[in-house]
Amino acid sequence: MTSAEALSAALAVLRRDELAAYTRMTDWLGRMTVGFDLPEESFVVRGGKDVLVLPEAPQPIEVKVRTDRDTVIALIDGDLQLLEAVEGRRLDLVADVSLMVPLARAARAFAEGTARARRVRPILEAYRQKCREHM
Amino acid sequence: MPLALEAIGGIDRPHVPPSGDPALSTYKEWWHFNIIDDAAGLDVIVNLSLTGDIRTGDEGQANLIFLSLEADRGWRGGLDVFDGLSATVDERGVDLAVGQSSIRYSDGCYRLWLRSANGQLAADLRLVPATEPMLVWKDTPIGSGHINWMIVPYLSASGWVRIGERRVSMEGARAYHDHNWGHWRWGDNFGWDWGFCAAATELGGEPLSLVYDRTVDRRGARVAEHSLAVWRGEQLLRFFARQMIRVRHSGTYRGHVRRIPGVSDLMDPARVATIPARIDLTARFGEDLIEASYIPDAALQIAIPRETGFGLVELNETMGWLTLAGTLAGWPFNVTRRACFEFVG
Repeated sequence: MTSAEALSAALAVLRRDELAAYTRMTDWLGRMTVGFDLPEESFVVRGGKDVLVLPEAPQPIEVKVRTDRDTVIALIDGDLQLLEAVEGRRLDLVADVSLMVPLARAARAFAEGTARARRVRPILEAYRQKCREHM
Repeated sequence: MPLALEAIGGIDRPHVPPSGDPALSTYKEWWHFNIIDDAAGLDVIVNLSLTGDIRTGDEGQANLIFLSLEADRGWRGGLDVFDGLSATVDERGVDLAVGQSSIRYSDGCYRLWLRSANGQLAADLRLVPATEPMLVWKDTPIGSGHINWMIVPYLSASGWVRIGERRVSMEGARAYHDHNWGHWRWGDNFGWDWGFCAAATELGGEPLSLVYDRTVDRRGARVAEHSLAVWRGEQLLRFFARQMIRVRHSGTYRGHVRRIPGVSDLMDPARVATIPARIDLTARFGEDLIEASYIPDAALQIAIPRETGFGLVELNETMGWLTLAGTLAGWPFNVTRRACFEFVG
Protein backbone atom coordinates (compact mmCIF):
# COMPACT_ATOMS: atom_id res chain seq x y z
CA MET A 1 0.00 0.00 0.00
CA THR A 2 1.45 3.36 -1.02
CA SER A 3 1.14 6.49 1.11
CA ALA A 4 -1.34 7.92 -1.39
CA GLU A 5 -3.47 4.76 -1.26
CA ALA A 6 -3.41 4.71 2.56
CA LEU A 7 -4.39 8.38 2.77
CA SER A 8 -7.13 7.98 0.18
CA ALA A 9 -8.57 4.93 2.00
CA ALA A 10 -8.43 6.72 5.37
CA LEU A 11 -10.24 9.75 3.93
CA ALA A 12 -12.99 7.50 2.54
CA VAL A 13 -13.47 5.91 5.99
CA LEU A 14 -13.53 9.32 7.62
CA ARG A 15 -16.18 10.61 5.22
CA ARG A 16 -18.34 7.58 5.95
CA ASP A 17 -17.77 7.00 9.69
CA GLU A 18 -16.63 10.32 11.19
CA LEU A 19 -18.47 12.96 9.21
CA ALA A 20 -18.08 15.68 11.87
CA ALA A 21 -14.28 15.41 11.80
CA TYR A 22 -14.29 15.11 7.99
CA THR A 23 -16.41 18.25 7.63
CA ARG A 24 -14.23 20.18 10.03
CA MET A 25 -11.18 19.08 8.03
CA THR A 26 -12.68 20.15 4.69
CA ASP A 27 -13.69 23.51 6.22
CA TRP A 28 -10.12 24.25 7.28
CA LEU A 29 -8.55 22.86 4.12
CA GLY A 30 -10.78 24.95 1.86
CA ARG A 31 -9.53 24.75 -1.74
CA MET A 32 -5.92 24.30 -0.65
CA THR A 33 -3.63 22.06 -2.72
CA VAL A 34 -0.94 20.20 -0.78
CA GLY A 35 1.86 18.37 -2.55
CA PHE A 36 3.55 15.42 -0.85
CA ASP A 37 7.02 14.37 -1.87
CA LEU A 38 8.27 11.03 -0.48
CA PRO A 39 11.27 9.03 -1.76
CA GLU A 40 8.96 6.41 -3.29
CA GLU A 41 6.14 8.57 -4.60
CA SER A 42 4.69 12.02 -5.08
CA PHE A 43 1.04 12.94 -4.89
CA VAL A 44 -1.29 15.83 -4.24
CA VAL A 45 -4.15 16.37 -1.80
CA ARG A 46 -6.74 18.82 -3.07
CA GLY A 47 -9.29 20.37 -0.72
CA GLY A 48 -12.90 21.00 -1.61
CA LYS A 49 -16.30 19.56 -0.71
CA ASP A 50 -14.54 16.22 -1.00
CA VAL A 51 -10.84 15.91 -0.32
CA LEU A 52 -9.13 14.15 -3.21
CA VAL A 53 -5.80 12.38 -3.43
CA LEU A 54 -4.44 12.83 -6.96
CA PRO A 55 -1.24 11.72 -8.69
CA GLU A 56 -0.67 15.17 -10.18
CA ALA A 57 -1.63 18.71 -9.31
CA PRO A 58 -4.50 20.15 -11.37
CA GLN A 59 -3.60 23.61 -10.09
CA PRO A 60 -0.58 25.32 -8.48
CA ILE A 61 0.62 23.62 -5.27
CA GLU A 62 0.31 25.99 -2.31
CA VAL A 63 1.85 23.73 0.36
CA LYS A 64 4.79 21.40 -0.18
CA VAL A 65 5.50 18.57 2.27
CA ARG A 66 8.67 16.49 1.99
CA THR A 67 9.04 13.52 4.28
CA ASP A 68 9.33 9.72 4.26
CA ARG A 69 7.17 6.80 5.37
CA ASP A 70 9.19 6.03 8.52
CA THR A 71 8.62 9.59 9.71
CA VAL A 72 4.88 9.31 9.00
CA ILE A 73 4.69 6.10 11.05
CA ALA A 74 6.78 7.62 13.86
CA LEU A 75 4.41 10.61 14.01
CA ILE A 76 1.33 8.37 14.11
CA ASP A 77 2.88 6.18 16.82
CA GLY A 78 3.89 9.18 18.94
CA ASP A 79 7.58 8.26 18.71
CA LEU A 80 8.22 11.64 17.13
CA GLN A 81 6.56 15.01 17.62
CA LEU A 82 5.77 17.25 14.67
CA LEU A 83 8.16 19.94 15.85
CA GLU A 84 10.91 17.35 16.37
CA ALA A 85 10.33 16.06 12.84
CA VAL A 86 10.69 19.58 11.40
CA GLU A 87 13.72 20.45 13.53
CA GLY A 88 15.32 17.08 12.72
CA ARG A 89 14.87 17.72 8.96
CA ARG A 90 12.70 14.65 8.67
CA LEU A 91 9.74 16.73 7.53
CA ASP A 92 9.93 19.92 5.48
CA LEU A 93 6.91 22.14 5.15
CA VAL A 94 6.96 24.98 2.62
CA ALA A 95 3.98 27.32 2.45
CA ASP A 96 2.87 30.88 2.92
CA VAL A 97 2.71 31.53 6.64
CA SER A 98 -0.99 32.47 6.35
CA LEU A 99 -1.77 28.86 5.39
CA MET A 100 -0.06 27.29 8.40
CA VAL A 101 -2.92 27.73 10.87
CA PRO A 102 -5.70 26.35 8.60
CA LEU A 103 -3.36 23.54 7.53
CA ALA A 104 -2.58 22.62 11.17
CA ARG A 105 -6.28 22.67 12.06
CA ALA A 106 -7.18 20.52 9.07
CA ALA A 107 -4.47 18.03 10.07
CA ARG A 108 -5.78 18.03 13.63
CA ALA A 109 -9.34 17.32 12.45
CA PHE A 110 -7.99 14.48 10.30
CA ALA A 111 -6.18 13.03 13.38
CA GLU A 112 -9.39 13.44 15.48
CA GLY A 113 -11.35 11.46 12.93
CA THR A 114 -8.82 8.71 12.33
CA ALA A 115 -8.30 8.17 16.06
CA ARG A 116 -12.03 7.48 16.41
CA ALA A 117 -12.66 5.51 13.21
CA ARG A 118 -12.15 1.80 13.79
CA ARG A 119 -11.99 1.05 10.07
CA VAL A 120 -8.82 3.12 9.81
CA ARG A 121 -6.88 0.59 11.91
CA PRO A 122 -6.53 -2.11 9.22
CA ILE A 123 -5.47 0.58 6.74
CA LEU A 124 -2.75 1.76 9.12
CA GLU A 125 -1.67 -1.83 9.75
CA ALA A 126 -1.40 -2.53 6.00
CA TYR A 127 0.60 0.68 5.54
CA ARG A 128 2.84 -0.17 8.49
CA GLN A 129 3.42 -3.66 7.01
CA LYS A 130 4.46 -2.11 3.71
CA CYS A 131 6.92 0.13 5.55
CA ARG A 132 8.44 -2.89 7.32
CA GLU A 133 8.91 -4.69 4.00
CA HIS A 134 10.91 -1.74 2.69
CA MET A 135 13.18 -1.52 5.75
CA MET B 1 -8.18 -19.90 52.76
CA PRO B 2 -10.47 -17.23 54.29
CA LEU B 3 -13.97 -17.22 52.79
CA ALA B 4 -13.74 -13.70 51.32
CA LEU B 5 -10.62 -14.58 49.32
CA GLU B 6 -12.29 -17.73 48.06
CA ALA B 7 -15.23 -15.63 46.86
CA ILE B 8 -13.13 -13.15 44.86
CA GLY B 9 -13.61 -15.09 41.64
CA GLY B 10 -17.36 -14.49 41.88
CA ILE B 11 -17.20 -10.93 43.20
CA ASP B 12 -14.83 -9.95 40.39
CA ARG B 13 -17.01 -11.37 37.61
CA PRO B 14 -17.86 -9.32 34.49
CA HIS B 15 -21.01 -7.19 34.30
CA VAL B 16 -21.61 -7.29 30.53
CA PRO B 17 -25.14 -6.00 29.82
CA PRO B 18 -27.50 -8.42 28.06
CA SER B 19 -28.10 -8.15 24.31
CA GLY B 20 -30.72 -5.52 23.57
CA ASP B 21 -29.95 -3.48 26.70
CA PRO B 22 -30.68 0.13 25.66
CA ALA B 23 -27.59 1.30 27.56
CA LEU B 24 -25.18 -1.07 25.78
CA SER B 25 -23.43 1.73 23.92
CA THR B 26 -22.26 3.39 27.16
CA TYR B 27 -21.14 0.18 28.90
CA LYS B 28 -17.55 0.20 30.16
CA GLU B 29 -15.64 -2.23 32.33
CA TRP B 30 -12.00 -2.97 33.13
CA TRP B 31 -9.75 -5.15 35.22
CA HIS B 32 -6.69 -3.21 36.31
CA PHE B 33 -3.47 -4.45 37.90
CA ASN B 34 -0.33 -2.67 39.12
CA ILE B 35 2.78 -4.57 40.12
CA ILE B 36 5.64 -2.84 41.91
CA ASP B 37 8.80 -4.93 42.11
CA ASP B 38 10.99 -2.94 44.50
CA ALA B 39 13.92 -5.36 44.15
CA ALA B 40 14.15 -5.05 40.36
CA GLY B 41 13.05 -1.39 40.18
CA LEU B 42 10.24 -2.41 37.83
CA ASP B 43 6.66 -1.12 37.72
CA VAL B 44 4.04 -2.87 35.58
CA ILE B 45 0.56 -1.65 34.61
CA VAL B 46 -2.01 -4.00 33.08
CA ASN B 47 -5.54 -3.01 32.11
CA LEU B 48 -7.96 -5.15 30.15
CA SER B 49 -11.08 -3.21 29.22
CA LEU B 50 -14.37 -3.87 27.46
CA THR B 51 -16.60 -1.16 25.98
CA GLY B 52 -19.88 -1.04 24.08
CA ASP B 53 -21.54 -4.10 22.56
CA ILE B 54 -18.74 -6.66 22.59
CA ARG B 55 -20.99 -9.18 20.86
CA THR B 56 -20.53 -7.22 17.63
CA GLY B 57 -17.49 -6.51 15.53
CA ASP B 58 -17.98 -2.77 15.12
CA GLU B 59 -19.99 -1.57 18.13
CA GLY B 60 -17.77 -2.97 20.86
CA GLN B 61 -14.12 -2.92 21.71
CA ALA B 62 -11.64 -4.83 23.87
CA ASN B 63 -8.39 -3.10 24.79
CA LEU B 64 -5.26 -4.23 26.55
CA ILE B 65 -2.91 -1.71 28.10
CA PHE B 66 0.36 -3.39 29.07
CA LEU B 67 3.18 -1.14 30.25
CA SER B 68 6.48 -1.47 32.04
CA LEU B 69 8.49 1.30 33.67
CA GLU B 70 12.13 1.18 34.73
CA ALA B 71 14.01 4.21 36.05
CA ASP B 72 16.83 3.95 33.50
CA ARG B 73 14.81 2.68 30.53
CA GLY B 74 11.51 4.53 30.84
CA TRP B 75 8.13 3.28 29.67
CA ARG B 76 7.76 0.32 27.32
CA GLY B 77 4.62 -1.22 25.87
CA GLY B 78 1.38 0.47 25.00
CA LEU B 79 -2.22 -0.01 24.00
CA ASP B 80 -3.49 -2.89 21.85
CA VAL B 81 -6.98 -2.38 20.41
CA PHE B 82 -9.26 -5.25 19.38
CA ASP B 83 -12.86 -5.40 18.23
CA GLY B 84 -15.43 -6.71 20.69
CA LEU B 85 -15.69 -10.12 19.06
CA SER B 86 -12.00 -10.73 19.79
CA ALA B 87 -12.70 -10.89 23.53
CA THR B 88 -13.57 -14.14 25.28
CA VAL B 89 -15.52 -13.43 28.46
CA ASP B 90 -16.87 -16.00 30.90
CA GLU B 91 -19.64 -14.12 32.71
CA ARG B 92 -19.57 -16.50 35.72
CA GLY B 93 -16.11 -15.60 36.96
CA VAL B 94 -12.78 -14.05 36.03
CA ASP B 95 -11.81 -15.78 32.80
CA LEU B 96 -11.01 -13.19 30.16
CA ALA B 97 -8.94 -13.39 27.01
CA VAL B 98 -8.12 -10.95 24.25
CA GLY B 99 -5.47 -11.34 21.56
CA GLN B 100 -2.76 -13.59 23.00
CA SER B 101 -3.40 -12.44 26.57
CA SER B 102 -5.61 -13.76 29.34
CA ILE B 103 -6.58 -12.97 32.92
CA ARG B 104 -8.01 -15.73 35.10
CA TYR B 105 -8.82 -16.27 38.77
CA SER B 106 -8.83 -19.77 40.20
CA ASP B 107 -7.53 -21.60 43.28
CA GLY B 108 -7.13 -18.35 45.18
CA CYS B 109 -4.93 -16.49 42.71
CA TYR B 110 -5.02 -14.38 39.58
CA ARG B 111 -3.04 -15.66 36.63
CA LEU B 112 -1.97 -13.01 34.12
CA TRP B 113 -0.66 -14.38 30.83
CA LEU B 114 0.21 -11.35 28.72
CA ARG B 115 1.66 -10.72 25.26
CA SER B 116 1.74 -7.27 23.66
CA ALA B 117 0.72 -7.35 19.99
CA ASN B 118 4.14 -6.11 18.82
CA GLY B 119 5.96 -8.70 20.96
CA GLN B 120 7.79 -6.01 22.95
CA LEU B 121 6.39 -7.14 26.34
CA ALA B 122 5.30 -10.47 27.76
CA ALA B 123 4.53 -11.74 31.25
CA ASP B 124 3.42 -14.77 33.18
CA LEU B 125 2.38 -13.69 36.67
CA ARG B 126 0.59 -15.21 39.67
CA LEU B 127 -1.05 -12.68 41.98
CA VAL B 128 -2.23 -13.97 45.35
CA PRO B 129 -4.64 -11.66 47.22
CA ALA B 130 -3.30 -10.78 50.66
CA THR B 131 -6.29 -8.69 51.75
CA GLU B 132 -10.03 -9.00 51.65
CA PRO B 133 -11.60 -7.19 48.69
CA MET B 134 -13.69 -4.06 49.09
CA LEU B 135 -16.77 -3.58 46.96
CA VAL B 136 -18.16 -0.10 46.23
CA TRP B 137 -21.29 -1.12 44.32
CA LYS B 138 -23.52 1.92 44.73
CA ASP B 139 -23.59 3.42 41.22
CA THR B 140 -21.42 6.41 42.09
CA PRO B 141 -22.51 9.17 39.66
CA ILE B 142 -19.94 10.33 37.07
CA GLY B 143 -21.27 12.79 34.50
CA SER B 144 -24.49 11.42 33.05
CA GLY B 145 -23.62 7.87 34.10
CA HIS B 146 -22.35 5.84 37.03
CA ILE B 147 -19.41 3.67 38.06
CA ASN B 148 -18.83 0.78 40.47
CA TRP B 149 -15.59 -0.43 41.98
CA MET B 150 -14.09 -3.58 43.42
CA ILE B 151 -10.65 -3.32 45.03
CA VAL B 152 -8.03 -5.80 46.18
CA PRO B 153 -5.46 -3.40 47.67
CA TYR B 154 -2.59 -5.83 48.17
CA LEU B 155 -1.61 -8.97 46.30
CA SER B 156 1.69 -10.79 46.26
CA ALA B 157 3.03 -11.17 42.70
CA SER B 158 5.42 -13.83 41.43
CA GLY B 159 6.52 -14.88 37.97
CA TRP B 160 8.33 -13.08 35.17
CA VAL B 161 8.07 -10.13 32.83
CA ARG B 162 9.94 -10.02 29.50
CA ILE B 163 10.89 -6.56 28.28
CA GLY B 164 12.33 -6.80 24.77
CA GLU B 165 14.91 -9.57 25.14
CA ARG B 166 15.34 -9.21 28.92
CA ARG B 167 13.45 -11.39 31.34
CA VAL B 168 12.86 -10.07 34.87
CA SER B 169 11.84 -12.63 37.50
CA MET B 170 9.95 -11.55 40.58
CA GLU B 171 8.93 -13.18 43.85
CA GLY B 172 6.62 -11.50 46.34
CA ALA B 173 6.36 -8.17 44.51
CA ARG B 174 3.69 -5.75 45.76
CA ALA B 175 0.59 -5.65 43.57
CA TYR B 176 -2.82 -3.96 43.45
CA HIS B 177 -5.99 -4.87 41.59
CA ASP B 178 -9.24 -3.10 40.91
CA HIS B 179 -12.23 -3.67 38.70
CA ASN B 180 -14.52 -0.87 37.55
CA TRP B 181 -17.75 -1.17 35.66
CA GLY B 182 -20.75 0.94 34.78
CA HIS B 183 -22.13 3.25 32.12
CA TRP B 184 -20.74 6.67 31.24
CA ARG B 185 -19.49 8.77 28.36
CA TRP B 186 -15.87 9.91 28.18
CA GLY B 187 -16.01 13.67 28.03
CA ASP B 188 -18.91 14.04 30.45
CA ASN B 189 -18.38 16.47 33.31
CA PHE B 190 -16.30 14.33 35.68
CA GLY B 191 -12.77 13.51 36.69
CA TRP B 192 -11.05 11.60 39.45
CA ASP B 193 -7.87 11.16 41.44
CA TRP B 194 -7.02 7.68 42.55
CA GLY B 195 -3.97 6.17 44.17
CA PHE B 196 -2.68 3.25 46.15
CA CYS B 197 0.26 2.03 48.15
CA ALA B 198 0.27 -1.73 48.74
CA ALA B 199 2.14 -3.02 51.79
CA ALA B 200 3.49 0.44 52.51
CA THR B 201 4.89 -0.64 55.86
CA GLU B 202 4.13 -3.02 58.70
CA LEU B 203 1.77 -2.17 61.52
CA GLY B 204 2.05 -4.51 64.48
CA GLY B 205 3.62 -7.14 62.23
CA GLU B 206 0.95 -6.89 59.51
CA PRO B 207 1.23 -5.08 56.14
CA LEU B 208 -0.46 -1.68 55.86
CA SER B 209 -2.10 -0.92 52.49
CA LEU B 210 -3.90 2.23 51.37
CA VAL B 211 -6.27 3.20 48.56
CA TYR B 212 -7.25 6.82 47.91
CA ASP B 213 -10.14 8.00 45.74
CA ARG B 214 -11.63 11.39 44.89
CA THR B 215 -14.34 11.61 42.23
CA VAL B 216 -15.07 15.16 41.10
CA ASP B 217 -16.49 17.27 38.31
CA ARG B 218 -14.04 18.33 35.58
CA ARG B 219 -13.03 21.51 37.39
CA GLY B 220 -12.55 19.60 40.63
CA ALA B 221 -15.04 21.88 42.41
CA ARG B 222 -17.85 19.39 43.19
CA VAL B 223 -16.82 16.23 45.02
CA ALA B 224 -19.00 13.14 44.47
CA GLU B 225 -16.84 10.77 46.49
CA HIS B 226 -13.71 11.20 48.60
CA SER B 227 -12.19 8.44 50.69
CA LEU B 228 -9.03 6.87 52.03
CA ALA B 229 -9.31 3.19 52.89
CA VAL B 230 -6.62 1.53 55.00
CA TRP B 231 -6.07 -2.20 55.44
CA ARG B 232 -3.95 -3.93 58.08
CA GLY B 233 -3.21 -7.49 57.07
CA GLU B 234 -6.29 -9.00 55.46
CA GLN B 235 -8.80 -6.69 57.13
CA LEU B 236 -10.02 -3.16 56.48
CA LEU B 237 -8.70 -1.19 59.46
CA ARG B 238 -10.07 2.30 58.85
CA PHE B 239 -12.22 4.04 56.23
CA PHE B 240 -11.70 7.78 56.21
CA ALA B 241 -14.71 9.50 54.66
CA ARG B 242 -14.70 12.87 52.92
CA GLN B 243 -15.18 15.03 56.02
CA MET B 244 -12.08 13.42 57.58
CA ILE B 245 -9.76 14.17 54.64
CA ARG B 246 -7.94 17.27 53.48
CA VAL B 247 -6.00 17.22 50.21
CA ARG B 248 -3.90 19.80 48.39
CA HIS B 249 -2.39 19.61 44.90
CA SER B 250 0.60 21.83 44.20
CA GLY B 251 2.78 22.63 41.21
CA THR B 252 2.82 20.96 37.79
CA TYR B 253 4.77 17.84 36.92
CA ARG B 254 7.55 18.92 34.52
CA GLY B 255 8.94 15.58 33.36
CA HIS B 256 8.33 14.12 29.92
CA VAL B 257 4.87 12.58 29.60
CA ARG B 258 4.57 9.89 26.95
CA ARG B 259 1.07 9.68 25.43
CA ILE B 260 -0.77 6.65 24.12
CA PRO B 261 -2.07 6.20 21.55
CA GLY B 262 0.71 8.13 19.85
CA VAL B 263 -1.69 9.88 17.48
CA SER B 264 -2.87 11.93 20.50
CA ASP B 265 0.14 14.18 19.97
CA LEU B 266 -1.17 15.07 16.51
CA MET B 267 -4.62 15.80 17.95
CA ASP B 268 -3.34 17.91 20.81
CA PRO B 269 0.36 18.75 20.59
CA ALA B 270 0.33 20.86 23.77
CA ARG B 271 2.50 19.81 26.70
CA VAL B 272 0.63 17.80 29.36
CA ALA B 273 -0.06 20.20 32.22
CA THR B 274 -2.69 18.34 34.22
CA ILE B 275 -0.43 16.36 36.56
CA PRO B 276 0.44 17.92 39.93
CA ALA B 277 4.06 18.00 41.09
CA ARG B 278 2.94 17.03 44.59
CA ILE B 279 -0.10 16.03 46.62
CA ASP B 280 -0.38 16.50 50.37
CA LEU B 281 -3.09 14.65 52.20
CA THR B 282 -4.21 14.55 55.82
CA ALA B 283 -6.78 12.07 57.14
CA ARG B 284 -7.93 12.18 60.74
CA PHE B 285 -10.52 10.34 62.83
CA GLY B 286 -10.25 10.38 66.62
CA GLU B 287 -6.70 9.32 67.51
CA ASP B 288 -6.04 7.95 64.03
CA LEU B 289 -3.98 10.26 61.84
CA ILE B 290 -2.31 9.89 58.45
CA GLU B 291 -0.20 12.61 56.91
CA ALA B 292 0.90 11.74 53.40
CA SER B 293 2.73 13.41 50.53
CA TYR B 294 3.10 11.98 47.03
CA ILE B 295 5.69 13.14 44.49
CA PRO B 296 5.49 11.55 41.02
CA ASP B 297 8.73 10.74 39.19
CA ALA B 298 7.25 9.22 36.01
CA ALA B 299 4.06 9.83 34.08
CA LEU B 300 2.24 8.52 31.05
CA GLN B 301 -1.02 9.73 29.55
CA ILE B 302 -3.69 7.48 28.10
CA ALA B 303 -5.73 9.76 25.85
CA ILE B 304 -9.29 8.75 25.02
CA PRO B 305 -11.34 10.63 22.39
CA ARG B 306 -14.31 12.35 23.99
CA GLU B 307 -17.67 10.78 23.28
CA THR B 308 -19.33 14.16 23.72
CA GLY B 309 -17.50 16.17 21.04
CA PHE B 310 -13.96 16.78 19.81
CA GLY B 311 -10.93 16.56 22.07
CA LEU B 312 -9.43 14.09 24.48
CA VAL B 313 -10.05 12.82 27.99
CA GLU B 314 -6.72 12.54 29.80
CA LEU B 315 -5.99 9.55 32.02
CA ASN B 316 -2.66 10.44 33.60
CA GLU B 317 -0.89 7.47 35.15
CA THR B 318 1.96 8.36 37.49
CA MET B 319 4.44 6.40 39.57
CA GLY B 320 6.30 8.03 42.42
CA TRP B 321 7.08 8.10 46.10
CA LEU B 322 4.57 8.29 48.92
CA THR B 323 5.75 9.44 52.33
CA LEU B 324 3.45 8.41 55.16
CA ALA B 325 3.55 9.37 58.82
CA GLY B 326 1.05 9.14 61.65
CA THR B 327 -0.64 6.75 64.04
CA LEU B 328 -3.26 4.08 63.43
CA ALA B 329 -4.89 2.03 66.20
CA GLY B 330 -2.08 3.16 68.49
CA TRP B 331 0.74 2.09 66.13
CA PRO B 332 3.01 4.90 64.89
CA PHE B 333 4.54 4.74 61.41
CA ASN B 334 6.84 6.80 59.21
CA VAL B 335 7.83 5.42 55.82
CA THR B 336 8.48 6.30 52.16
CA ARG B 337 7.37 3.74 49.56
CA ARG B 338 6.83 3.51 45.82
CA ALA B 339 3.19 4.14 44.93
CA CYS B 340 0.89 4.97 42.03
CA PHE B 341 -1.59 7.80 41.48
CA GLU B 342 -3.88 8.46 38.53
CA PHE B 343 -5.40 11.82 37.60
CA VAL B 344 -8.34 11.86 35.21
CA GLY B 345 -10.05 14.89 33.74
